[in-house]
Amino acid sequence: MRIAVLSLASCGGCQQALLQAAGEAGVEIAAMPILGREWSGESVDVLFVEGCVTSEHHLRLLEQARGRCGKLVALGTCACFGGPSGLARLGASSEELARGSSSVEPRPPADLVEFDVLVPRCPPPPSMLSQLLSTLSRGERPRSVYAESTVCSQCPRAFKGIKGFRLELSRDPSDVEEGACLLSQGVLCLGPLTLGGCGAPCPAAGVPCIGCGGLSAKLIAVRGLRPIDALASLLAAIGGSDRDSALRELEDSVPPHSTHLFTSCSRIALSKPGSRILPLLRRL
Amino acid sequence: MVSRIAIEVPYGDAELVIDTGAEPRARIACRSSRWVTALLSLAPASALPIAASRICGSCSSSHYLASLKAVARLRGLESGASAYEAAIALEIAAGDALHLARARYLEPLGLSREVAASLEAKSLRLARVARDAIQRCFGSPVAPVLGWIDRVLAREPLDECCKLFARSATELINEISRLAREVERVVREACSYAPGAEGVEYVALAGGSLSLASGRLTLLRSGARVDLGSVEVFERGGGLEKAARVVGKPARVGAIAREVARGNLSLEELSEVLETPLYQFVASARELRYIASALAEGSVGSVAWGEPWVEAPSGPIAHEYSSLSTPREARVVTGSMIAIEAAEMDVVSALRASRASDESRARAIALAVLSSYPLCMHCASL
Ligand code: SF4
Ligand code: SF4
Ligand code: SF4
Repeated sequence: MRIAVLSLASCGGCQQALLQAAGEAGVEIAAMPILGREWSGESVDVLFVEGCVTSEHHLRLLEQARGRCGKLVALGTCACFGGPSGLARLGASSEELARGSSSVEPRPPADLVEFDVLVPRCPPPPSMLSQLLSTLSRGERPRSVYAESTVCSQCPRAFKGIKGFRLELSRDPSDVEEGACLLSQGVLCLGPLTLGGCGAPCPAAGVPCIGCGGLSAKLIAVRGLRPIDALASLLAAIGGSDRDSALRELEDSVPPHSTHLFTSCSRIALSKPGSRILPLLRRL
Repeated sequence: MVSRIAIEVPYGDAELVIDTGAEPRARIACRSSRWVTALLSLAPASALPIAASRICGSCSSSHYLASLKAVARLRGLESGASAYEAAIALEIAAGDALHLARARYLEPLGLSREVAASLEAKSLRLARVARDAIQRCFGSPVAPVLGWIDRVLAREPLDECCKLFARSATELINEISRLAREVERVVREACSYAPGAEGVEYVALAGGSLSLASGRLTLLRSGARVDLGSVEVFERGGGLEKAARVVGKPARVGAIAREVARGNLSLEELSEVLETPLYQFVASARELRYIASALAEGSVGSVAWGEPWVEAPSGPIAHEYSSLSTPREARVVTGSMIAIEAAEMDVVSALRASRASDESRARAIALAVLSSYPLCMHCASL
């Protein structure tokens, strides 16, 4: 099986993970920018798209990718939800950063093109990718990489009620109470909003989850549900309060975007229904 | 006369601006920003290293380790220096092995396709061994601060991984060393980093570098370390980037520039040699050998000194940010596979030497020089 990577605005980390996986799966790499080989439009069995669209050039490349290859895979959180590269959306609005800024509104490729498979996470673990590669090379239909679970389901910390709806962004890990959920301790942890499967290494060590894995299946499936709304509902349910006042306090205490740093330009995170991700998720 | 040349980097647009006036100038600017700085400023303080590893996926451990060290210091923690050095050395080894995997570019030198393919496969395997070693000892680049510090204090698994890496590296390194000698001869002739150029001290290194490995600026020829006191901080990119350069060193005189000026090297020949990343190959091969033997002997201290200064697109770049949650400042120092300032200096040297006055020739010279640099600009598109 021949594969290639089309890299848009990205850090290139997903390619590294894919390179690791491709070695194990024994597939032929026709193009991969970190190996000094750009994809130049040739047809391959699987084309992986990494990164976020931030320029006209990217739009052209993405257009070229459409229908050229056997399967089209959105590789990583950037391709699925914008990821760190999608933060260009925030930057583009700032006067200082607008100089020389991207020519188009940053968008995740998954919002623009129909993909066969979405593999969020930043980056997806090589083991997950080698499984995907062997499934694809057998000509089989890949399983959904979406688990129903969130990061919380793998977190060793126990939920112990909540102190209030005003959350701190961070706390020194040495001041974090052993074994207790960070949200319970009043620290903003994105575990409940984030797709599980990473093993929750961050909250396990007292560092809040910043949501690098992408959105949980629930956040994707419920149209227009913003991450901050979901968090407010959760906290309100546990804290025995109404959702609106929980939301108000949350919005007062945490800066905008900090609940969806890795999904800031995704239609879902921006509460715009109709993302192409939804039908895809149902099909998988 | 100012001329703007659009360059396409894989993930966006970049631009080479040349000024062919009496004092030629050149600037490479990445036009596509990913605004990762927004992530750095919005992420909680304790997650900064996790966020910083997204500056560049190829150098993720460099960014991670450098910012980790900065955050650890802010918290008054001192991590085991030698383990930190070994980690950086492994990171460089992984990057260098990846550079070597571009062996197919050596075909124009008469290397057979089969040999190139086998070198490529071995180099890739080596890159994986190094990445596995990093993963085993430090967890993934998204592993959190405390986990890393704990692991660093227990040095044993790291020693074991370093030895494993050195064993895997030996065979490949012997093979490439033979080739490297021949490649080096060609490169010495064509490349602006030719050792022996009169009065030249240079700090810009391609293809991973001792600077990156050492965590300090190192002069390639003498191996001498640059006193950080002589590092001058300046602004690039309309004030968006803070960069630093070493002051008080004589300007480099590129061999390219000299040879073009003397008429010994035509632009066609120049492109033929420089369109291949030969320089990266040789630099990587040399450093990989050095690093592998140091790792095997357990003497990485001589490779790496541990200050979190690593080479970045325009010399060492220190991105400063303060976390929203705590009024602290951390210096996140970015690493890079290439030195953009070095490329800029080379372009200037070539323009100065060729005294090209017509625009199309100046553009051709600039592009030919630039083609010897793989424009990895992930950390320039911050
Ligand atoms: S998803 Fe993460 S690892 Fe992949 S390119 Fe984006 S920032 Fe890099
Ligand atoms: S909110 Fe965070 S700390 Fe709490 S259980 Fe979920 S992942 Fe763990
Ligand atoms: S930030 Fe969250 S999703 Fe990412 S590795 Fe840490 S716990 Fe997992």
